Amino acid sequence: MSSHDEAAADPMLKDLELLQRFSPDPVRAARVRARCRAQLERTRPSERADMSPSADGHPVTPVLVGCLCGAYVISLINLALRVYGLLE
Amino acid sequence: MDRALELQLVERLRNGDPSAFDAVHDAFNARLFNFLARLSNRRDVAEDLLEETWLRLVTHARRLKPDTHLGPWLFTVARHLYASYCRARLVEDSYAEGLIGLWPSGSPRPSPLDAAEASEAQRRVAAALSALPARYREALLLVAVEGLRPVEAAQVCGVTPEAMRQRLSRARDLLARRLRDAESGGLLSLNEVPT
Repeated sequence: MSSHDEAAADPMLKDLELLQRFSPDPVRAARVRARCRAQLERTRPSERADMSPSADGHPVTPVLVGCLCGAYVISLINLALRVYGLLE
Repeated sequence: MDRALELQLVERLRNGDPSAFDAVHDAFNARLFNFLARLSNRRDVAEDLLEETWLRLVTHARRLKPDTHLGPWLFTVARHLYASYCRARLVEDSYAEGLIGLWPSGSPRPSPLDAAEASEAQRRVAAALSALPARYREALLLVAVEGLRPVEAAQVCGVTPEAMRQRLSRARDLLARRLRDAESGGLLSLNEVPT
């Protein structure tokens, strides 16, 4: 017999099950629920916008940002080389 | 809660689905409140800690493991919050200790939670339970009142299943002794009535 079964079979522990159950304030519970829902909602769309998936399911935004940064760095190097006359 | 449904709810919570939160809230709100109210013996504290528990779930929803057991997870958070509350109270009380003598003392009144107990028998059991040391009280609350399996209760309390089994056995003995003492105390006081 498991200890859970023992607990269920023990008449004294059964008394504990019969203890009056306290209920939370329904108004406050509704307010907390609404607050939590709103918090959950707030995080959902922003992360989806950041990580909009392509057709094959991979996030596009990080790749795009990476490409733009790469192009910017290359153009900077190109400009620096021209300024110092190392590139015609 | 059915395990398949629970796993589905966890997945939906990880995806930020508010309707999944509603389902979890419906399933656990009253149970968590009852646990916290019995642990703290105070409705206002239980309400505050309950709110904080739900906020923790929402904050950590994305980082939940796919195989999370929601019941033990929530009760663990609630228990940790209660422990933090007790630690904070301990610090406050140590500061306040020197001031206590300045306040007028009155006879202790039963808390509103005590007054709400329906019957004399319930009141007796509730009083015996609330007089137990916290570690035994929480073990009984989790297993006998909230219906967690002992292995889940062990997880919530951060002890081994064997330690939880021993804690439950000790808690049961202590509760029985306190109930016996209360009964004999009651009989004694009746015998003391002059005839």
